[in-house]
Amino acid sequence: MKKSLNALLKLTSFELDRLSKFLFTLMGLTLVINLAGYIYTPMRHMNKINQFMTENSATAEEALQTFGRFSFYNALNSFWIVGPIVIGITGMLFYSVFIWYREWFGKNTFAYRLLMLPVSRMTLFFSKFIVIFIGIFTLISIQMVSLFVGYPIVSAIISDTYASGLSLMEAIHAHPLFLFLFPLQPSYFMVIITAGAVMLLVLFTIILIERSFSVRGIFIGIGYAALSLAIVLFPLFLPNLLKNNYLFYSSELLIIELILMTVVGICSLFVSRYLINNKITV
Amino acid sequence: MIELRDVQKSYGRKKVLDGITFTANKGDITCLVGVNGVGKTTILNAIMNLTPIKKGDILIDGEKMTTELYNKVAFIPDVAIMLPGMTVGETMDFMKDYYDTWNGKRAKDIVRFFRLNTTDKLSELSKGNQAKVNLLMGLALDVDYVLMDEPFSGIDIFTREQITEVFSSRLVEDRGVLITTHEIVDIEHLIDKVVLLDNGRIYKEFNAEEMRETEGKSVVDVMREVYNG
Amino acid sequence: MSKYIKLSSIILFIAVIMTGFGIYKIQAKTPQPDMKIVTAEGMPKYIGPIELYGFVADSNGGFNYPTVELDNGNFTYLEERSFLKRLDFNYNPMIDELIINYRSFMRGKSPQPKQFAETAQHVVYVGSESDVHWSTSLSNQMTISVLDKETKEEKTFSVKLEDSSSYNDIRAVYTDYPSLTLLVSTDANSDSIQTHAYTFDLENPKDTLTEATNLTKEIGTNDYLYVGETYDKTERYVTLQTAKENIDSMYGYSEEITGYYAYDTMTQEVIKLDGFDEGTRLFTDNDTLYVGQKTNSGIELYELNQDDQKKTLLGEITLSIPDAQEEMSYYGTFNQNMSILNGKLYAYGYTEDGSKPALQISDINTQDALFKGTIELKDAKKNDSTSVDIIEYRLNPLID
Repeated sequence: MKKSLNALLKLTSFELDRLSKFLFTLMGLTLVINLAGYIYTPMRHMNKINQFMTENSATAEEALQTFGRFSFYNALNSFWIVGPIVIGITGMLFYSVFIWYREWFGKNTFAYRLLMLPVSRMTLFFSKFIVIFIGIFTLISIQMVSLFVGYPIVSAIISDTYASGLSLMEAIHAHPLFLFLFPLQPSYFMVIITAGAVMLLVLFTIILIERSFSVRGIFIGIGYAALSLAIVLFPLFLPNLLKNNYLFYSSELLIIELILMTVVGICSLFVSRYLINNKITV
Repeated sequence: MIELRDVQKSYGRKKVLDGITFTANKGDITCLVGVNGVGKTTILNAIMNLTPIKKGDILIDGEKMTTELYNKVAFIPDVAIMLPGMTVGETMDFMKDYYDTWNGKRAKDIVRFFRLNTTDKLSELSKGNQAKVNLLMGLALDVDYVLMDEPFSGIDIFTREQITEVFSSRLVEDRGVLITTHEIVDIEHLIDKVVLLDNGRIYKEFNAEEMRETEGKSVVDVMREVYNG
Repeated sequence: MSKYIKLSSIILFIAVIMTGFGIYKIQAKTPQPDMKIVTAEGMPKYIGPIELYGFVADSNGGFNYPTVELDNGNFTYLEERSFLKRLDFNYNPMIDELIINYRSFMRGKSPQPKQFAETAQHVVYVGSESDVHWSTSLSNQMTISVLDKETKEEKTFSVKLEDSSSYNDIRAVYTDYPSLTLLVSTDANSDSIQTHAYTFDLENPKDTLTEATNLTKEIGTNDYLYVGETYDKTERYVTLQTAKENIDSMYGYSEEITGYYAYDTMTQEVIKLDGFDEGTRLFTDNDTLYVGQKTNSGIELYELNQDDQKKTLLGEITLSIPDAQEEMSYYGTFNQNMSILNGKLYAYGYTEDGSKPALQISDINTQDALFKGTIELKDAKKNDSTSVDIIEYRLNPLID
């Protein structure tokens, strides 16, 4: 047990080392683009107000009526913040696929070495899985840091007359994207994390199916994805199947959903274990 | 002893291994011989559980292959298998990290013998030196068996000589070596046993020395007979 | 160890930031403002039956409108419920309470208060398949379920409407256990919607619902029929109102009340009530009908003798809630903001300046104000920036 945990730690650290360049790029990109947004969006707003006041000889009050107050939420709800988040999500999704295929299609066939390590092959699987999650949480954390840095910047650029007084936490709460990304409501966040973990397990399983059965594997993989999706979405069809929209309470549907997701996750782990131990081909 | 019993494998309808049965003993150099595409590499991959077989058994000293046995059997493929960004030294550290049977002293000896530079990046190495790194990773392990896939392919004459030297050195002494090659001339005199493959089947299995003594034929002579005739 | 530096620093980074964020979140969280009932007159004990939901909007609080609930005189915020209980929350105080108390009975039933009648001993539900599964086509089949609160025994009857017409909408369910009266609108697709009254005996069930009265025929008009909002579904009378649309312009229309009626669930007769003009309202409580007449300062309340339609003046109730004087109708019911329950007149609305929700309870016989008051924030300083909007209101007839 201690030996396999040690191997997991070593492999996770090794995988993280390989991810680090990509991760640091995404972190840097997030910080730089966000910073540009924290400066550009409030400045544009102030410029618009100043221009309006000069051109129309208007008072601050009239400018306020036309443009409204500027809040940190306005800065958050811009390309400068949403963009890097989208890039981060897409990047990690891409990396989740890349993390396996690079072992086969890289310049050297590292899959040979990895699969011949005298450690349980599932250790490889878990190390890759953990690293993706470390990547996701690092990006979430850097986004948090960025918001804490950005709030005083925006507040400094927007003069008090035109500021809405919305606090940092209120602005974060108001943005639907952060409800998914940040642990604002712990239970809800846990549901999102569970769903994400199951999605990743299914994706890894599909990759292993393809790596085990090649072209035929693509079709089996699509089938596995469809089956997983059907199982997870099944509760949504229950009202129609049972001809009653109120047969289950929302809390029960969520629990059923969590159970089904767990079942899909565990099945994926077993399928993956079987494939990586018996079917995978270098 | 590495033992294969009625091993079968196909890609779609095409049978690549059809009833392969042979043994490779500890202390012997067993050579899988055949032209390209007869299934030599597939056999080695199958022994290392790097490709599934359809039927049959593969046993290492009577046990089925498990991950623990990677401490007992080393495989040296004919492609580079470490990350190109790593240096030779990092490769050695990596092996030391994971393999209980990694022999650091022997590793240093091999580095010296092959005149490798531990600070060199793998991506900057010549094909020959990359093959040497592969050999280093396999031979520095205190294993009972070493599998080598085409160790001479695409390698210059001087490197070839160095590698050939390995076979007569204490690096392979007492170990069971299973080697695939279609360029047999260089090591013919060192081989104990030959398994001749044709179309995924074993065409002939013989002791090289006996063949020389009883029939006066070299391994290459037998190959000529099989593949030309 | 040096090879773990990257791993340990990244994990440390995540842990520090997440913890920091968590601490900041807790610190930055301004607790929801505490609410209180401010009594201007009378005693707050009388507000027991009032159940309401409101949105609390703080003009400095961004986009967060927490839902506050007043139940039995106590305020609680929806977010105080656990995550799973919050998921099951129903934005109707009656349905929400029924789900909390009779979760199993409420399963699979349409969450519309008009389809339920609750007494001290029973909960009755009437619905059809199309009420719970919207894509099912209308049929004349209906389900009647009754729950004995004490024994938890549930009885379900499958009944069909006497005529073959498919039913459209259950308008009201009244019970004088074991007798059940249903008001049902049928033939939604035809030009003229017919509203029928059916009776059903819960102790002596039959598989066909017998029509007691065709309300549309009895009333003799195709004008739209409104049902009075009565929170106690054991009353004898169902108050009714007909209204028609007047097209005022290309884009606007107004509604004109064309008549008041009461359906007597005992005699199964429709009583046409005459002499109503603008500002008149019709109420029912127990076995009696009441008429309210708007005055400058409140409402004059009359008891109505249903035999000769003679009105006896009970007295004038002064209303401190200006908007309660205007009748409010929506979703096919009227008398949203004022009703009589167990001898008391309940009214709700907002204070004159529109800033605070206001409640008033008066004794209909003495016209004394039993309670007059407002819902305010405990922290008076916040009253200027925070407003409470009532979104749901009901009276719980089982609380006195």
